[in-house]
Amino acid sequence: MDKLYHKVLKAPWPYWVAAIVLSLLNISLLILTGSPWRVTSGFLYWGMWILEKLGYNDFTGSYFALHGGLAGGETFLVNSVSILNAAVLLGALLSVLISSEFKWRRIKNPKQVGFAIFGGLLMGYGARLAFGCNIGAFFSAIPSFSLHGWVFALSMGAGGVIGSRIMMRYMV
Amino acid sequence: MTSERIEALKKRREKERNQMTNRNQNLYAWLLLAAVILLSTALLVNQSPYMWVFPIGIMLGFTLERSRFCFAAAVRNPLIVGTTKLLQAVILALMVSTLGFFILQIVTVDINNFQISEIPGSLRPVGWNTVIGGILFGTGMVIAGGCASGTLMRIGEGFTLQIVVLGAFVGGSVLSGVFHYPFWHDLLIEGRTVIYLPQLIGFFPALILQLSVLGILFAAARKLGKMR
Repeated sequence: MDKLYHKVLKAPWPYWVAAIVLSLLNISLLILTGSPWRVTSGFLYWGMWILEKLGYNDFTGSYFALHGGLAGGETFLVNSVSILNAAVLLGALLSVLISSEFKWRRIKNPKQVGFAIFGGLLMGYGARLAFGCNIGAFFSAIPSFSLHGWVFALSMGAGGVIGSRIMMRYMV
Repeated sequence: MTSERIEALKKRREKERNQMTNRNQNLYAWLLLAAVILLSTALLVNQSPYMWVFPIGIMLGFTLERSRFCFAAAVRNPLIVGTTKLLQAVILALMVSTLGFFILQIVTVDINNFQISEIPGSLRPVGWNTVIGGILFGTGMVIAGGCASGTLMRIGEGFTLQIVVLGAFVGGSVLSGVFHYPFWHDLLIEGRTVIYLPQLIGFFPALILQLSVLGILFAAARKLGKMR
Protein backbone atom coordinates (compact mmCIF):
# COMPACT_ATOMS: atom_id res chain seq x y z
CA MET A 1 0.00 0.00 0.00
CA ASP A 2 2.78 2.33 0.99
CA LYS A 3 4.61 1.32 -2.14
CA LEU A 4 1.61 2.13 -4.33
CA TYR A 5 1.23 5.49 -2.59
CA HIS A 6 4.85 6.26 -3.33
CA LYS A 7 4.54 5.16 -6.95
CA VAL A 8 1.44 7.24 -7.67
CA LEU A 9 2.13 10.33 -5.62
CA LYS A 10 5.86 10.66 -5.13
CA ALA A 11 7.73 9.03 -8.01
CA PRO A 12 7.54 10.33 -11.58
CA TRP A 13 5.12 8.43 -13.82
CA PRO A 14 6.46 6.74 -16.96
CA TYR A 15 5.59 8.57 -20.17
CA TRP A 16 3.35 5.79 -21.44
CA VAL A 17 1.19 5.93 -18.31
CA ALA A 18 0.83 9.70 -18.73
CA ALA A 19 -0.03 9.19 -22.42
CA ILE A 20 -2.94 6.90 -21.54
CA VAL A 21 -4.16 9.07 -18.65
CA LEU A 22 -4.04 12.25 -20.76
CA SER A 23 -6.00 10.52 -23.53
CA LEU A 24 -8.65 9.26 -21.15
CA LEU A 25 -8.99 12.72 -19.60
CA ASN A 26 -9.32 14.30 -23.03
CA ILE A 27 -12.00 11.77 -24.03
CA SER A 28 -13.85 12.44 -20.75
CA LEU A 29 -13.67 16.17 -21.36
CA LEU A 30 -15.20 15.71 -24.81
CA ILE A 31 -17.98 13.46 -23.50
CA LEU A 32 -18.84 15.58 -20.46
CA THR A 33 -18.49 19.10 -21.88
CA GLY A 34 -18.87 18.57 -25.64
CA SER A 35 -15.51 20.17 -26.24
CA PRO A 36 -12.06 18.56 -26.13
CA TRP A 37 -8.92 19.91 -24.40
CA ARG A 38 -7.80 23.30 -25.72
CA VAL A 39 -5.58 26.00 -24.32
CA THR A 40 -4.68 28.93 -26.51
CA SER A 41 -8.07 30.46 -27.27
CA GLY A 42 -8.05 31.16 -23.52
CA PHE A 43 -4.85 33.17 -23.93
CA LEU A 44 -6.49 35.23 -26.68
CA TYR A 45 -9.45 35.97 -24.39
CA TRP A 46 -7.11 37.05 -21.59
CA GLY A 47 -5.40 39.40 -24.03
CA MET A 48 -8.76 40.81 -25.10
CA TRP A 49 -9.73 41.26 -21.46
CA ILE A 50 -6.58 43.33 -20.95
CA LEU A 51 -7.32 45.36 -24.09
CA GLU A 52 -10.81 46.10 -22.79
CA LYS A 53 -9.36 47.23 -19.46
CA LEU A 54 -7.05 49.52 -21.38
CA GLY A 55 -10.06 51.01 -23.12
CA TYR A 56 -9.76 49.24 -26.47
CA ASN A 57 -12.86 47.36 -27.52
CA ASP A 58 -13.14 47.43 -31.29
CA PHE A 59 -13.01 43.74 -32.08
CA THR A 60 -14.60 43.88 -35.53
CA GLY A 61 -13.01 41.34 -37.86
CA SER A 62 -11.11 39.66 -35.02
CA TYR A 63 -10.84 35.91 -34.50
CA PHE A 64 -13.39 36.27 -31.73
CA ALA A 65 -15.88 38.23 -33.84
CA LEU A 66 -15.66 35.72 -36.69
CA HIS A 67 -15.42 32.41 -34.85
CA GLY A 68 -16.82 33.24 -31.40
CA GLY A 69 -16.24 30.61 -28.79
CA LEU A 70 -17.76 31.94 -25.58
CA ALA A 71 -21.00 30.54 -24.21
CA GLY A 72 -23.71 32.73 -22.68
CA GLY A 73 -22.65 34.27 -19.38
CA GLU A 74 -18.95 33.75 -20.08
CA THR A 75 -16.55 36.66 -20.09
CA PHE A 76 -13.05 37.10 -21.51
CA LEU A 77 -11.68 36.48 -18.04
CA VAL A 78 -14.00 33.77 -16.78
CA ASN A 79 -14.87 31.07 -19.33
CA SER A 80 -14.36 27.34 -19.65
CA VAL A 81 -10.96 27.59 -21.38
CA SER A 82 -9.69 30.02 -18.75
CA ILE A 83 -10.87 27.77 -15.94
CA LEU A 84 -9.33 24.76 -17.66
CA ASN A 85 -6.00 26.59 -18.01
CA ALA A 86 -6.03 27.78 -14.42
CA ALA A 87 -6.85 24.25 -13.30
CA VAL A 88 -3.93 22.79 -15.31
CA LEU A 89 -1.61 25.25 -13.56
CA LEU A 90 -3.05 24.37 -10.13
CA GLY A 91 -2.85 20.64 -10.88
CA ALA A 92 0.84 21.00 -11.67
CA LEU A 93 1.32 22.99 -8.47
CA LEU A 94 -0.45 20.29 -6.48
CA SER A 95 1.79 17.62 -7.98
CA VAL A 96 4.98 19.54 -7.27
CA LEU A 97 3.89 20.28 -3.68
CA ILE A 98 3.08 16.63 -3.03
CA SER A 99 6.62 15.68 -3.93
CA SER A 100 7.93 18.70 -1.93
CA GLU A 101 9.72 20.05 -4.99
CA PHE A 102 8.15 23.47 -5.31
CA LYS A 103 10.64 26.28 -5.53
CA TRP A 104 10.67 29.69 -7.15
CA ARG A 105 13.12 29.31 -9.97
CA ARG A 106 14.63 32.62 -10.89
CA ILE A 107 15.58 33.71 -14.37
CA LYS A 108 19.26 33.06 -14.90
CA ASN A 109 20.22 35.51 -17.60
CA PRO A 110 18.77 38.19 -19.89
CA LYS A 111 19.38 36.02 -22.95
CA GLN A 112 16.79 33.56 -21.64
CA VAL A 113 14.25 36.37 -21.38
CA GLY A 114 14.87 37.27 -25.00
CA PHE A 115 14.24 33.70 -26.10
CA ALA A 116 11.17 33.46 -23.88
CA ILE A 117 9.62 36.59 -25.37
CA PHE A 118 10.49 35.70 -28.96
CA GLY A 119 9.31 32.10 -28.60
CA GLY A 120 6.12 33.12 -26.79
CA LEU A 121 5.23 35.72 -29.42
CA LEU A 122 5.78 33.23 -32.25
CA MET A 123 3.64 30.59 -30.52
CA GLY A 124 0.83 33.03 -29.81
CA TYR A 125 0.87 34.45 -33.33
CA GLY A 126 0.98 31.04 -34.97
CA ALA A 127 -1.65 29.43 -32.79
CA ARG A 128 -4.35 31.93 -33.78
CA LEU A 129 -3.66 31.50 -37.49
CA ALA A 130 -3.81 27.71 -37.20
CA PHE A 131 -6.92 27.56 -34.97
CA GLY A 132 -5.01 26.24 -31.99
CA CYS A 133 -1.79 25.05 -30.47
CA ASN A 134 -0.36 21.58 -30.12
CA ILE A 135 -3.30 20.73 -27.92
CA GLY A 136 -6.31 22.12 -29.83
CA ALA A 137 -4.87 21.79 -33.33
CA PHE A 138 -2.93 18.59 -32.72
CA PHE A 139 -3.65 16.54 -29.60
CA SER A 140 -7.42 17.04 -29.92
CA ALA A 141 -7.56 17.55 -33.71
CA ILE A 142 -5.94 14.36 -35.00
CA PRO A 143 -8.24 12.12 -32.91
CA SER A 144 -11.18 14.16 -34.26
CA PHE A 145 -10.22 13.05 -37.81
CA SER A 146 -9.91 16.67 -38.93
CA LEU A 147 -7.22 17.06 -41.60
CA HIS A 148 -5.99 20.32 -40.07
CA GLY A 149 -4.51 18.28 -37.20
CA TRP A 150 -2.21 16.36 -39.54
CA VAL A 151 -1.24 19.47 -41.51
CA PHE A 152 -0.52 21.26 -38.24
CA ALA A 153 1.59 18.32 -37.01
CA LEU A 154 3.79 18.36 -40.12
CA SER A 155 4.15 22.13 -40.06
CA MET A 156 4.92 22.12 -36.36
CA GLY A 157 7.64 19.51 -37.03
CA ALA A 158 9.11 21.75 -39.74
CA GLY A 159 9.00 24.67 -37.30
CA GLY A 160 10.71 22.44 -34.75
CA VAL A 161 13.61 21.94 -37.16
CA ILE A 162 13.92 25.71 -37.67
CA GLY A 163 13.67 26.35 -33.93
CA SER A 164 16.30 23.71 -33.15
CA ARG A 165 18.70 25.27 -35.66
CA ILE A 166 18.22 28.69 -34.06
CA MET A 167 18.72 27.25 -30.60
CA MET A 168 21.88 25.35 -31.48
CA ARG A 169 23.31 28.42 -33.10
CA TYR A 170 22.57 31.03 -30.48
CA MET A 171 21.96 29.24 -27.22
CA VAL A 172 24.61 26.55 -26.94
CA MET B 1 25.85 15.09 -26.72
CA THR B 2 24.84 11.46 -26.41
CA SER B 3 21.59 10.41 -24.84
CA GLU B 4 23.37 8.65 -21.96
CA ARG B 5 25.08 11.86 -21.04
CA ILE B 6 21.74 13.66 -21.18
CA GLU B 7 20.25 11.02 -18.90
CA ALA B 8 23.18 11.32 -16.48
CA LEU B 9 22.79 15.10 -16.46
CA LYS B 10 19.06 14.75 -15.82
CA LYS B 11 19.73 12.43 -12.87
CA ARG B 12 22.27 14.83 -11.41
CA ARG B 13 19.87 17.75 -11.76
CA GLU B 14 17.13 15.72 -10.11
CA LYS B 15 19.47 14.95 -7.20
CA GLU B 16 20.49 18.57 -6.85
CA ARG B 17 16.88 19.60 -6.93
CA ASN B 18 15.99 17.14 -4.18
CA GLN B 19 18.81 18.44 -2.03
CA MET B 20 17.74 22.02 -2.53
CA THR B 21 14.12 21.34 -1.72
CA ASN B 22 14.23 18.81 1.03
CA ARG B 23 11.87 20.95 3.09
CA ASN B 24 8.65 19.11 3.53
CA GLN B 25 5.81 20.81 1.63
CA ASN B 26 3.09 18.37 2.65
CA LEU B 27 1.14 21.00 4.59
CA TYR B 28 0.75 23.20 1.50
CA ALA B 29 -0.12 20.14 -0.57
CA TRP B 30 -2.93 19.19 1.83
CA LEU B 31 -4.25 22.75 1.96
CA LEU B 32 -4.33 23.01 -1.83
CA LEU B 33 -5.89 19.57 -2.15
CA ALA B 34 -8.60 20.54 0.35
CA ALA B 35 -9.29 23.78 -1.55
CA VAL B 36 -9.48 21.91 -4.87
CA ILE B 37 -11.89 19.30 -3.48
CA LEU B 38 -14.03 21.98 -1.83
CA LEU B 39 -14.23 24.03 -5.01
CA SER B 40 -14.94 20.98 -7.20
CA THR B 41 -17.76 19.94 -4.87
CA ALA B 42 -19.21 23.45 -4.82
CA LEU B 43 -19.17 23.58 -8.64
CA LEU B 44 -20.83 20.17 -8.83
CA VAL B 45 -23.51 20.98 -6.25
CA ASN B 46 -24.37 24.20 -8.08
CA GLN B 47 -24.38 22.42 -11.45
CA SER B 48 -21.94 25.07 -12.64
CA PRO B 49 -20.96 25.07 -16.33
CA TYR B 50 -17.41 24.63 -15.05
CA MET B 51 -18.10 21.56 -12.96
CA TRP B 52 -16.19 19.27 -15.32
CA VAL B 53 -13.45 21.50 -16.74
CA PHE B 54 -12.12 22.33 -13.29
CA PRO B 55 -11.49 18.83 -11.89
CA ILE B 56 -10.37 17.45 -15.26
CA GLY B 57 -7.98 20.38 -15.70
CA ILE B 58 -6.51 19.66 -12.27
CA MET B 59 -5.94 16.05 -13.30
CA LEU B 60 -4.41 17.09 -16.65
CA GLY B 61 -1.97 19.44 -14.91
CA PHE B 62 -1.17 16.84 -12.28
CA THR B 63 -0.46 14.20 -14.93
CA LEU B 64 1.73 16.54 -17.01
CA GLU B 65 3.84 17.49 -14.00
CA ARG B 66 4.04 14.03 -12.47
CA SER B 67 5.41 12.53 -15.66
CA ARG B 68 7.40 15.57 -16.91
CA PHE B 69 5.32 15.24 -20.08
CA CYS B 70 6.19 17.94 -22.58
CA PHE B 71 4.90 18.22 -26.11
CA ALA B 72 7.71 20.59 -27.07
CA ALA B 73 10.34 18.10 -25.94
CA ALA B 74 8.56 15.36 -27.91
CA VAL B 75 9.31 17.34 -31.07
CA ARG B 76 12.67 18.77 -30.00
CA ASN B 77 14.39 15.72 -28.51
CA PRO B 78 14.42 13.60 -31.69
CA LEU B 79 15.88 16.59 -33.55
CA ILE B 80 18.55 17.60 -31.05
CA VAL B 81 19.48 14.60 -28.92
CA GLY B 82 17.87 11.73 -30.78
CA THR B 83 15.72 10.39 -27.94
CA THR B 84 12.19 9.41 -28.93
CA LYS B 85 10.59 8.13 -25.72
CA LEU B 86 8.32 11.16 -25.41
CA LEU B 87 7.47 11.17 -29.10
CA GLN B 88 6.45 7.52 -28.82
CA ALA B 89 4.24 8.39 -25.84
CA VAL B 90 2.58 11.23 -27.76
CA ILE B 91 1.85 8.89 -30.69
CA LEU B 92 0.47 6.28 -28.28
CA ALA B 93 -1.79 8.95 -26.76
CA LEU B 94 -3.04 9.90 -30.23
CA MET B 95 -3.91 6.25 -30.90
CA VAL B 96 -5.86 5.88 -27.64
CA SER B 97 -7.66 9.20 -28.20
CA THR B 98 -8.43 8.32 -31.81
CA LEU B 99 -10.26 5.22 -30.64
CA GLY B 100 -12.17 7.12 -27.94
CA PHE B 101 -13.13 10.06 -30.17
CA PHE B 102 -14.17 7.65 -32.91
CA ILE B 103 -16.54 5.73 -30.67
CA LEU B 104 -18.05 8.97 -29.41
CA GLN B 105 -18.46 10.32 -32.94
CA ILE B 106 -20.21 7.23 -34.32
CA VAL B 107 -22.62 7.03 -31.41
CA THR B 108 -23.39 10.76 -31.54
CA VAL B 109 -24.13 11.23 -35.24
CA ASP B 110 -25.98 9.30 -37.89
CA ILE B 111 -23.04 8.12 -39.98
CA ASN B 112 -25.07 8.08 -43.18
CA ASN B 113 -26.45 11.55 -42.83
CA PHE B 114 -24.63 14.17 -40.79
CA GLN B 115 -23.49 17.76 -40.72
CA ILE B 116 -19.86 18.61 -39.90
CA SER B 117 -21.05 20.98 -37.17
CA GLU B 118 -22.65 18.09 -35.26
CA ILE B 119 -19.44 16.07 -34.95
CA PRO B 120 -17.92 16.21 -31.46
CA GLY B 121 -14.24 17.14 -31.43
CA SER B 122 -11.81 19.75 -32.67
CA LEU B 123 -12.80 20.25 -36.31
CA ARG B 124 -11.39 23.34 -37.99
CA PRO B 125 -10.80 24.64 -41.51
CA VAL B 126 -7.51 23.66 -43.09
CA GLY B 127 -5.40 25.74 -45.47
CA TRP B 128 -2.14 27.69 -45.77
CA ASN B 129 -3.05 29.35 -42.48
CA THR B 130 -2.55 25.96 -40.81
CA VAL B 131 0.88 25.57 -42.45
CA ILE B 132 2.12 29.07 -41.60
CA GLY B 133 0.64 28.95 -38.10
CA GLY B 134 2.11 25.51 -37.49
CA ILE B 135 5.60 26.53 -38.61
CA LEU B 136 5.55 29.67 -36.44
CA PHE B 137 4.20 27.69 -33.50
CA GLY B 138 6.76 24.89 -33.85
CA THR B 139 9.64 27.36 -34.10
CA GLY B 140 8.43 29.32 -31.08
CA MET B 141 7.81 26.21 -29.04
CA VAL B 142 11.39 25.01 -29.37
CA ILE B 143 12.84 28.49 -28.77
CA ALA B 144 10.71 29.14 -25.68
CA GLY B 145 11.37 25.60 -24.44
CA GLY B 146 7.74 24.67 -23.95
CA CYS B 147 4.33 24.80 -25.54
CA ALA B 148 1.12 26.25 -24.14
CA SER B 149 0.30 23.46 -21.71
CA GLY B 150 3.98 23.11 -20.77
CA THR B 151 4.15 26.82 -19.97
CA LEU B 152 1.17 26.56 -17.61
CA MET B 153 2.70 23.49 -15.99
CA ARG B 154 6.06 25.18 -15.41
CA ILE B 155 4.45 28.26 -13.89
CA GLY B 156 2.82 25.84 -11.46
CA GLU B 157 6.26 24.41 -10.68
CA GLY B 158 7.51 27.90 -9.87
CA PHE B 159 9.42 28.88 -13.02
CA THR B 160 9.50 32.67 -13.35
CA LEU B 161 10.71 32.52 -16.93
CA GLN B 162 7.50 30.85 -18.08
CA ILE B 163 5.46 33.78 -16.78
CA VAL B 164 7.36 35.85 -19.35
CA VAL B 165 6.57 33.20 -22.01
CA LEU B 166 2.87 33.35 -21.07
CA GLY B 167 2.86 37.14 -21.31
CA ALA B 168 4.44 37.02 -24.76
CA PHE B 169 2.07 34.21 -25.76
CA VAL B 170 -0.93 36.38 -24.84
CA GLY B 171 0.67 39.28 -26.73
CA GLY B 172 1.24 37.19 -29.86
CA SER B 173 -2.35 35.87 -29.71
CA VAL B 174 -3.76 39.38 -29.58
CA LEU B 175 -1.49 40.55 -32.38
CA SER B 176 -2.66 37.89 -34.83
CA GLY B 177 -6.11 37.20 -33.37
CA VAL B 178 -7.24 40.82 -33.05
CA PHE B 179 -5.04 43.31 -34.90
CA HIS B 180 -3.88 41.24 -37.88
CA TYR B 181 -6.84 38.89 -38.11
CA PRO B 182 -8.77 40.79 -40.80
CA PHE B 183 -5.66 40.65 -43.01
CA TRP B 184 -5.02 36.92 -42.57
CA HIS B 185 -8.70 36.11 -42.76
CA ASP B 186 -9.12 37.78 -46.13
CA LEU B 187 -5.86 36.37 -47.44
CA LEU B 188 -5.93 32.75 -46.31
CA ILE B 189 -8.80 31.73 -44.09
CA GLU B 190 -11.99 32.93 -45.75
CA GLY B 191 -13.66 30.13 -47.70
CA ARG B 192 -11.51 27.38 -46.17
CA THR B 193 -13.53 24.42 -44.94
CA VAL B 194 -13.16 21.60 -42.47
CA ILE B 195 -11.86 18.44 -44.10
CA TYR B 196 -13.24 15.54 -42.10
CA LEU B 197 -11.57 12.28 -43.10
CA PRO B 198 -14.59 9.97 -42.57
CA GLN B 199 -16.56 12.15 -44.96
CA LEU B 200 -13.98 11.45 -47.68
CA ILE B 201 -13.33 7.74 -47.22
CA GLY B 202 -15.95 6.50 -44.76
CA PHE B 203 -15.89 6.06 -40.99
CA PHE B 204 -14.26 2.66 -40.54
CA PRO B 205 -11.68 3.11 -43.33
CA ALA B 206 -10.70 6.45 -41.74
CA LEU B 207 -10.23 4.74 -38.37
CA ILE B 208 -8.15 1.93 -39.84
CA LEU B 209 -6.08 4.33 -41.96
CA GLN B 210 -5.38 6.65 -39.05
CA LEU B 211 -4.47 3.88 -36.62
CA SER B 212 -2.18 2.30 -39.24
CA VAL B 213 -0.39 5.57 -39.96
CA LEU B 214 0.04 6.22 -36.23
CA GLY B 215 1.24 2.64 -35.75
CA ILE B 216 3.85 3.04 -38.48
CA LEU B 217 4.99 6.36 -36.99
CA PHE B 218 5.24 4.72 -33.57
CA ALA B 219 7.41 1.91 -34.94
CA ALA B 220 9.57 4.41 -36.84
CA ALA B 221 10.06 6.57 -33.72
CA ARG B 222 10.98 3.47 -31.73
CA LYS B 223 13.51 2.40 -34.32
CA LEU B 224 15.02 5.89 -34.53
CA GLY B 225 15.37 5.96 -30.75
CA LYS B 226 17.18 2.63 -30.75
CA MET B 227 19.48 3.62 -33.58
CA ARG B 228 20.87 6.60 -31.71
